[in-house]
Amino acid sequence: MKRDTRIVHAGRPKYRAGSRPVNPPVVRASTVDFESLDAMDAAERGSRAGEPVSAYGIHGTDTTFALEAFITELEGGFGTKIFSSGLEAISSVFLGYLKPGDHVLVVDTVYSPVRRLLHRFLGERGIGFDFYSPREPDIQRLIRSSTRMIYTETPGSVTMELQDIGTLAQLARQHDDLLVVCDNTWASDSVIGLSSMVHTSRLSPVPSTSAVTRTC
Amino acid sequence: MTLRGARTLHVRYPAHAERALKVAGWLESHPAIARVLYPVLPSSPDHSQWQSQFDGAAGLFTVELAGEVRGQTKKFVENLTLFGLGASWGGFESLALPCDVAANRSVDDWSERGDLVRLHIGLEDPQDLIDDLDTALSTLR
Repeated sequence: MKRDTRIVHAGRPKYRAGSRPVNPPVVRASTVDFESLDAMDAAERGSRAGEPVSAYGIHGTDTTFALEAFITELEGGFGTKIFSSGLEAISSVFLGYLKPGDHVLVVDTVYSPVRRLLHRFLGERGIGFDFYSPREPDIQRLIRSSTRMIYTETPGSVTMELQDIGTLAQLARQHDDLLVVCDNTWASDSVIGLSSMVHTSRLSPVPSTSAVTRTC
Repeated sequence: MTLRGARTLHVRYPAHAERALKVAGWLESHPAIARVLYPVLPSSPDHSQWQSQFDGAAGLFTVELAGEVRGQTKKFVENLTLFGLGASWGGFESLALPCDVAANRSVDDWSERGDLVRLHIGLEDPQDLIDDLDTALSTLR
């Protein structure tokens, strides 16, 4: 199906007893109550495996799963996790993929709260970081043996310089264990067509703000 | 709400982009504007890269004001009547936001550049937005 059709049909509720609401109803929950321990175990297993199953409200409900399914469909991705703010999504990417002793290269045009996150939080916890110019012609020279991530944003925040994601992905592919993470907030899922990203497999697109790409 | 909005994103975004390109093109030739930072403009150094990497555009770009009107961004944005003052984009409404970019760069030096104002072009008629910008820019000296 073409993009416009997928935008209209992705993440719609299933028919139940012959009908469905056009949009998923808003489901809000904290505690989820199970009929049996078997049902609880099944839900927890599914939730851990990343299936759209609610084992506990904070991990998602049918409403948030529908939005996640929609974004995954648009991105052609593996999966989606939604967060209540951009910085929360970005923080989770750093905390999930970096550990003390690791180093991250960050584009100088990054969304400015990320700069604060690095200086005031991650740096104090042993994550090394350097910024690079969006016009840097040789990123390779900035990569250290401890560099585990290149964190970019295109177009850059406010000053709008573009990044060649394909070149970054190719560079990362030459190293073992180097992620390219792209904050895709300007272009948004439905308009960006990063043809240069075709040869990367997305690990986890982060809704409305970031797409994580992992080189094969 | 996000999902409901997303259903029409592909209809709204081209409308934003079309209006933004018209307004950005007009701003480029205004004497109070040093440069318009928007890869969609053919004059942008990133234009060919934008063409090869993107299928569309957001209606969000930044203007660098001319050195002669330095320090007057407050006056500029507060004289706009159709633009709200705010940080978001993708909504139906036009927004303006002065940006102190020099404080948020540690590699590239922006301290000698003109003041920056980020504009989100909403779904108003672009000529009305141009007229509003023209009036506000004419108050600068």
